[in-house]
Amino acid sequence: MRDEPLSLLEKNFALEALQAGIRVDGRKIDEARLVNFEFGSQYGTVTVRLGKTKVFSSAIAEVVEPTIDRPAEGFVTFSVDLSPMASENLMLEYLYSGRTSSTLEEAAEIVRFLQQIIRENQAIDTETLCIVAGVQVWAIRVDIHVLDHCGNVLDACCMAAVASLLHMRKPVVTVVGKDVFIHGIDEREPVPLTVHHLPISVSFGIFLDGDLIAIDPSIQEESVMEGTLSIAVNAHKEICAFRKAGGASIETSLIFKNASYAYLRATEVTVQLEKALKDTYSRNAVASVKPLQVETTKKSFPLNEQVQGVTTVWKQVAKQSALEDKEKTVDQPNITSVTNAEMEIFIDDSEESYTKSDELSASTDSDEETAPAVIARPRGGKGRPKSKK
Amino acid sequence: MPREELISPDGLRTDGRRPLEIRKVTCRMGILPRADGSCHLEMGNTIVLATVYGPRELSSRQSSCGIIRCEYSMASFASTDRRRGKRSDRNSVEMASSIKKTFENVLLTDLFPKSRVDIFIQVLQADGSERSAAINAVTIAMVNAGIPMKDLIVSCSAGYMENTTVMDLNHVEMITRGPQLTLAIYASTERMATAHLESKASFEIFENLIAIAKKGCLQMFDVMHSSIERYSLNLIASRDHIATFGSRA
Amino acid sequence: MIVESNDVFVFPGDKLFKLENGDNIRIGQGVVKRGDGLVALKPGYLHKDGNKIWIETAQKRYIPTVGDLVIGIIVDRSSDFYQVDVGGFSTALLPILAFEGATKRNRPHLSAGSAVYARVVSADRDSEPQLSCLLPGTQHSWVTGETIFGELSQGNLIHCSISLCRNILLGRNSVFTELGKYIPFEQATGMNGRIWVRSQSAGHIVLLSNLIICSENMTNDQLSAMIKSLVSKISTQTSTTTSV
Repeated sequence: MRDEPLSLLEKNFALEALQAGIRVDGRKIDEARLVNFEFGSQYGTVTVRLGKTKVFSSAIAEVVEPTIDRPAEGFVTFSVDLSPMASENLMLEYLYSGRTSSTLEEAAEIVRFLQQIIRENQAIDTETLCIVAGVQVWAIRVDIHVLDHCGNVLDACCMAAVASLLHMRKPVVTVVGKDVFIHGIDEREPVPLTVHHLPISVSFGIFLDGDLIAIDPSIQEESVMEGTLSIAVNAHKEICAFRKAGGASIETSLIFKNASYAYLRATEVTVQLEKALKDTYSRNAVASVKPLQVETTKKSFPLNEQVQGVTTVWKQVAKQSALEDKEKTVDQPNITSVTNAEMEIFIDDSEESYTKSDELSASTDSDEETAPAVIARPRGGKGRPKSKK
Repeated sequence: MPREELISPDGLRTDGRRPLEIRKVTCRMGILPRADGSCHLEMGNTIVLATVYGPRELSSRQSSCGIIRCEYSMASFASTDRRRGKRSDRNSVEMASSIKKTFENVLLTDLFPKSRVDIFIQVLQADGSERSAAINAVTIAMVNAGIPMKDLIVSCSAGYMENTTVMDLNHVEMITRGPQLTLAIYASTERMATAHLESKASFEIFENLIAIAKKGCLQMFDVMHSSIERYSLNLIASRDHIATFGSRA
Repeated sequence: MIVESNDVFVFPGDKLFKLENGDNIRIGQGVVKRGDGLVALKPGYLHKDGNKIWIETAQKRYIPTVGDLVIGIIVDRSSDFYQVDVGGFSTALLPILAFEGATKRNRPHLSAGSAVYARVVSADRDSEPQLSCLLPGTQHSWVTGETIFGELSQGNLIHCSISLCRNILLGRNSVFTELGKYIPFEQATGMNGRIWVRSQSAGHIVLLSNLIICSENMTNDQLSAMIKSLVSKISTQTSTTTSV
């Protein structure tokens, strides 16, 4: 979606709708948007979609020297790139503040939150990242790129970070005497990280001077909200982080209700994340890989049960559009699909009538089992989108 | 490594306080003559200096209500660990943005459109609860600068360790990495303005932390309130208006 | 190869209809004359209607064209003009008196953020596009609120693709006719990818807004089936939501 200045009409309507108990996108007050995890072919890469918000994350491991005060612990570091490609408003922010992407306030807040929920809560066992105490340890770097800023980026980033840490593998290391051997991926199957628990962040928007709190605000709602409330909860019903950074004041008693909403949502997301992970493994047919088991109550999300009637249909529609644009292209290769693809042109390999297909399919990545041939511009020479790198 | 006992069998903390006792708070207002408002706040050994400039003209972007800018920094000599201040700018940015957002809602910014208020916070000595010290110092500096506010914001921290909930954490208690909460509330309505929970806590502990931190905030408010009152009355007295207001003093 | 037929997908650089001497042809968006032939500049569907040739693309950025009906958002005002965002390369200008029946003393006062429905009256490469809310031949003054152009109040503004707006305005997309069978509402469609809707309740507006956006990827038959099923559901649901 292109960023456009929001008119007063939209802002007022977002509030009016909230007061009437619905949201501009057809959700209910306590209904979050759909989450979709898509793991890449490389370990540790994942694309998370939260409604239209899209975040890409990759985790890599490198060998570094430990600090003096913690010689037997590895590191987990995060970087969040809120690049101007995510939204036009961000571009303006860069122009006015003169900051770089990592010191942008929003990015700094997200990184700080990630450090808190994952590092300070020991979600990843940093002691198992040790290779030789005091000499070499693993440093896991999680790079998060916000691709589409359509509201509630914090939650999407947190889910992406957790998902890529779950999906990532570190190479097997053998230590013989003083020599350290790091085995390549083809030599020995790399091992997953030790994950103690999965903190899932759930954010709420605060509206109407603190009287109304709605889960997972969209970008239109973010323009009228008066502050956020972010609660990170894991499946053990522990609050990993609670953050309300200013904004409209709220009654303290309201928080506990929201904390339990957050817990329900977190369980739902955890189940979904595990399922997505399992599906990826079964698709890749990696026999030695065992998906991580996290205790979750198998109770379904009661908020979802309330959703009936119209919202269910919308959910399906939303799901459809949330799924790859490419699916549409396969279904109906007419002008409407091109509309969605924007300046990218999607070409179905199977269409014989297309004259340039031979030359184009040559540059297609055959490893991408699900993606059809996605070519940006035939004349542009290097046709592959950047994200495949 | 044997861990230091944080709470003695007598129920006293490392610095001799009881669990539900805040440290000695002293604050001095208007100490910097060039700033519109300033405050030097000591909470035990934590010392924070906050200055406020504004409202003053905003040159770059136009806006229908005033904007607030905040800068937070920790002096490199503020803590025993000299690297801490320099280590990452990100913590300071996050802290500054959280303080900015806290005060955005409480200041009546629509009274001064196209202008800005600058807040500068310098931590001179860090002995735990820097975030709440900074918020308290800014509140007092705002009062000193005479910027219209809906309410006073007061802040206090609370932590859970060795089966006890304690308020106003010091540095030793903070580095235990136990569940700890920094809470800022509106003094008169007691509604929550800002809250930061670090390290995981169960729902029950969290609820407890909020209740204790809230109590701490109110204790803090009493101290702040009386020192603001004293300062203001002194000012008035020094201007020979004592006759009119003398009855209150 | 020269593309000669209508409704064919062309790529930038493709050669289009061969021109004969004496041909009188008007070229629109995405087509340029190079040498003695026409060349496509954008990927999209080629259209030829009489002597008019243009390419329908899926681009998001609106390019102001004279005669387009657009929904603009007031960004700023000076003594003579409102600066209006229409999604183009620069803000457009709307003279403060360009409202039906407006005089120096009696004219609408729009604040930043208001939405207006207006017509593009000039779109020149070298200057800011000009808008107008005047419609020659109308009797109504802006005061009555019965004019076609002017400020849009209440309701919701939807941001969608330009091609959806084009399809709606050209009557290829029947979403409004279908919806009109069940729900009373008002709408204004701008060529710049914005649609304004107003209806009786917030619930209805939300429904309309989402259906309009969904309609982009549906055929008219699918659309009418979906609307039919949805409306039967919403009639039961609104009665429950209003009681809550």
